[in-house]
Amino acid sequence: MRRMPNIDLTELTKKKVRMLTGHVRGVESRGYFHLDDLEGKEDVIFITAPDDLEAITPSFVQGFFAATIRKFGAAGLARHYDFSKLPTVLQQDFQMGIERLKLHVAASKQA
Amino acid sequence: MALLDWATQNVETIVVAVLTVVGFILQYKHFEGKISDRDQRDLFMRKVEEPVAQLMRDYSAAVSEVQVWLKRMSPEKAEDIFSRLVQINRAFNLMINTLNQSKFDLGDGWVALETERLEERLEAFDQAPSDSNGRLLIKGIDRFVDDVNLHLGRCRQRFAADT
Repeated sequence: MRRMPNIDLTELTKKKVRMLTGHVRGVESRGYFHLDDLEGKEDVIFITAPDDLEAITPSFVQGFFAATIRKFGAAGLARHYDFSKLPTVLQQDFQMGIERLKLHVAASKQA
Repeated sequence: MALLDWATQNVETIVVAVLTVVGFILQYKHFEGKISDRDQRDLFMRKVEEPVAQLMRDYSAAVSEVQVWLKRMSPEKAEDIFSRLVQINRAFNLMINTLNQSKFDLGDGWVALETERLEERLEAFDQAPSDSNGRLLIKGIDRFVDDVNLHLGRCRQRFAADT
């Protein structure tokens, strides 16, 4: 049986960090997990996190998913990524960051 | 034919019904559909001023906690401060998203209020809860609160000018 691709955020936190923050770190993490390649090959990518991760900030999410939104749009991002294995609060953090990203994209289109 | 007979016999009822409907439409168009200046201000207070002020009070309370922590520096208390600020940040970010989609949006004003710098200081404090990181965190919160108040002032002025 084929294994579903999984982005395990433990690889970033290494059980030492309780918050993922920063646009730059989001962009670097995107490269670390080779999201551009994965998005081209895989239908659905799961995201998981360690129990001690308390927050993922909008700035991190924006760096992590900016390229995805540019390539596939918000609907494409929703199709590609499955956040259901995350605790509810982290699902909300991702959702909040994606909403912020959409607002930034809309604002830059208006400018 | 039967309908015409019924209408002829119930002219008064029909006139009253038509006048009632017209009355409702006129009332809605001239009063209900337009919100008064005072109501606008109340709405602004409720939707923007009060929630922002509450979050600013929460940030100020966190500053006080860090100041107390600087005198004793207990690791458990540092964890509490971190968790509390994470919650306040989350509430603030949620409010930014909501405000940005509301009628009180000022272009990209609210969305430009990034918590990123403050969060980086919070992260540094969490990883190394030292005297210097505690003081940097306090400065970060103070500066952020100033930025928010400045933007809120602009928003208030603009809103007042529109009404």
